[in-house]
Amino acid sequence: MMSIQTLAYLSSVVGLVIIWMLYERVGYRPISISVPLLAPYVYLRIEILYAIIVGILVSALLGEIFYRYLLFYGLRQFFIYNIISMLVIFITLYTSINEEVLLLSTLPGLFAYDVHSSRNRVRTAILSAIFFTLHVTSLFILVNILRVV
Amino acid sequence: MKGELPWRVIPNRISISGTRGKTSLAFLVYSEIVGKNKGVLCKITGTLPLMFINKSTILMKRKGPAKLYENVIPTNIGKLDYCIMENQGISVYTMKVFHEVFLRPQTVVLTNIRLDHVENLGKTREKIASAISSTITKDVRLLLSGETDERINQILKKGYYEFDVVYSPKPELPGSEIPVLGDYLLRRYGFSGIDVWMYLRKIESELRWKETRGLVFYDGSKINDPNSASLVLRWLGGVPLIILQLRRDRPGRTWAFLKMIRERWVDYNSVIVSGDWSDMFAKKTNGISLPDSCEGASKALEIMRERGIPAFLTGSRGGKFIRCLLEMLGVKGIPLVYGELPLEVNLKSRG
Repeated sequence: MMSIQTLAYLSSVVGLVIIWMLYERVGYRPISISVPLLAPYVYLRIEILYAIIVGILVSALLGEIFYRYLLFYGLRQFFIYNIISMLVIFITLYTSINEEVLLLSTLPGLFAYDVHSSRNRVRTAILSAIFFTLHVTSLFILVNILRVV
Repeated sequence: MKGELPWRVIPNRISISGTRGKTSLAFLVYSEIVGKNKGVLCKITGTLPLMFINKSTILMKRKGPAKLYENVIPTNIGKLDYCIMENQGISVYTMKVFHEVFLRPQTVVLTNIRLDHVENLGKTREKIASAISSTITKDVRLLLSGETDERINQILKKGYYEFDVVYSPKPELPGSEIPVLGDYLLRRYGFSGIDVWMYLRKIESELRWKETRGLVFYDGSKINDPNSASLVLRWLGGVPLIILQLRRDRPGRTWAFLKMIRERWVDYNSVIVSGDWSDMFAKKTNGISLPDSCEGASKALEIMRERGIPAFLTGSRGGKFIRCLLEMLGVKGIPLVYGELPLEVNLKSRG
């Protein structure tokens, strides 16, 4: 019998393949590649959703300040987003830090960087949020249909 | 980092974007404004990044690859009215950063859209146009296009800025859109225009086969895209030998030139190729692959002598083969623009 974790893992692979196909079709990345990794995490541990949202918002906001006022761009900006994200996750999930949290910690930063470096930031943010919601919903439905535990 | 962002201190800002002719256009507009009692700054990029501030020239030293930080301007340079900068970005992201953070232009000029930097921008001219149009920020009031392809202009057109196209009176002449764009820009900013025909004659006199030691050739090594190379080849006429320098860091360019040769966009006799992937390229085009060295260049020279037909050198200047070959043919320096760059005037060094 397939476990929920296995299903979540496989859904990540499928999600990444879908984003790759979209990229091949439109020629750019319209959805952050962090989304298929974030969605199963949230499905498995709904209590971390707030930390992820805070991580994305704080990284995006501070990252924008570094971009506009300190002229950070490219790989510098990528590092900044990830470091901010790791610090925010560290603070918000301080009481429950484990290996999972460590692996999760850079994903909100990656999301913020993908939005920052996309052609149309608003569109990428909205499409990523939609994809995230669809991914979590699909997992919920699949878990119930397949009755996995 | 010491310096100032152009948008903070200069009221009129123009970004020169597009594939070919950016440096020429930026310098042309600058050289027309500089003598008219107006403070003007111009930044050109490429192999030799230069900043012109009124009548001074600053040669910018690069440490490693080109960075957008070289668009930060020195402080205490007095009041400037106009800023003309070549957009040095080669990806959507860097072009956007240049517009959004460094320059914030009110006017963007797109000289033309051709198959260059395809690995970053897309493999068709339409995709490249769409990619470049996504780098136009909300501050832009005017987008001026020198592109004559209506399909491309439709992609560039957007609601929030004025869009205009200029048409060259001699469209078959490669680069003829540059003086026309310059003339339009100058008039638009309240200056008297230029003698477009004088410039066109100048381009025409440059665009011809050259002869040295009995060898006929054209130095198109600064022409890095197949669209422009075929335009120039068509203008020059004949069925030449194409000598191509490839670069490891420009796989998209290799792909685009391969497309040009295999689809026979122009008539040619045969292809000599050097640099990375030259064996594969030669195999696919029935051409000759030569080593990326001075020995390879000597061999190319021998072939040119044997065949006795004009040779068109293109692709890149960044290879030992092409540099040696140009030296053997007596070509010195880089033809940047129509005019002479006043390099010797007030040359200062900036780290």
